[in-house]
Amino acid sequence: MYDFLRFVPENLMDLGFKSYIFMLEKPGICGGVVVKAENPDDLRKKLRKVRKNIIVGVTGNEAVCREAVMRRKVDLILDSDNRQLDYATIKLAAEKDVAIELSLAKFIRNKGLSRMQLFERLCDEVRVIKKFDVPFVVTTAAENVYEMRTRRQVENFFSFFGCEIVKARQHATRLVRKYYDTRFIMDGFEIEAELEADVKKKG
Amino acid sequence: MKGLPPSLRSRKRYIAFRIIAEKEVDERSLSRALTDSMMSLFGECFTAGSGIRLEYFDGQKGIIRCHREALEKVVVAFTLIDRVGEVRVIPLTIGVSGTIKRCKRKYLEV
Repeated sequence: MYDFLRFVPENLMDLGFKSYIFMLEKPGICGGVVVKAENPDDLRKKLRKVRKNIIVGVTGNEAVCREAVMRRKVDLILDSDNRQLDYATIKLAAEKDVAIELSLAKFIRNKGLSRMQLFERLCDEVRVIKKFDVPFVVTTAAENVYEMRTRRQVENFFSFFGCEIVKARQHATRLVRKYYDTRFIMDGFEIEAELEADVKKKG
Repeated sequence: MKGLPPSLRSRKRYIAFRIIAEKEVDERSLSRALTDSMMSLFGECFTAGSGIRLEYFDGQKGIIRCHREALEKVVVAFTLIDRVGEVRVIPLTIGVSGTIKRCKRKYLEV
């Protein structure tokens, strides 16, 4: 399973993840780009500047998320403390094959009533995700080293709230392989071996 | 309750963990933080019924004991700890075992 971080740590600990994807506003070598938009027009302008062949994550209010789900370039709707997804947006995400991120960090950052409201939102989102078989990923979405947790802790946490962890792993793997694995074409369809002639041409 | 026959004793699980922190973490403060996390998430009644105890802690690694039925919830509560007293910490679970002997041998190398 892969973890999507919002920062680049100095020393990466072995926490049981296969690899890390660094979602940053200015993307590096191995990672994705975060597009923060205040309204749908702002989102469209920023998406035009994003290069191809990179994981694109969008964060914003309800209207921005709804617009993002309909864009081809967008791969992931990132999670945040004040993200509010409605029923129609989640249903549309299933049709457009846009993954929804469920993150642990917001539960660590908040306490009391605000955390209770986040749990409530999470339960509703999980129910709709299960109903429409929406692609989703479970991550820490850590912004600093104190928000990082082991793979087992993240999986246990979300399976406690009813998430199907096997599906989350599959969706995360598919998302990463789409951009970083040259042999991957689509689900269940990948290049086994190349013909000699093709290898010679490349070489 | 002391003196219960084996058939009435609850089945327990032992969670091996480690804490990464900038300063030293006190065993008592950690126990307090764990109980507070459990109580804020699941309430006093459930915390009481979970049988949660900090069995062993050497400053970095330790073992938490709980009832088998409460295992998942204890792990969730432990995951959500972000500070012990004034010190920011990273709580990481290493593994779970049914006996304390095996837990120490396999996960803590004691």
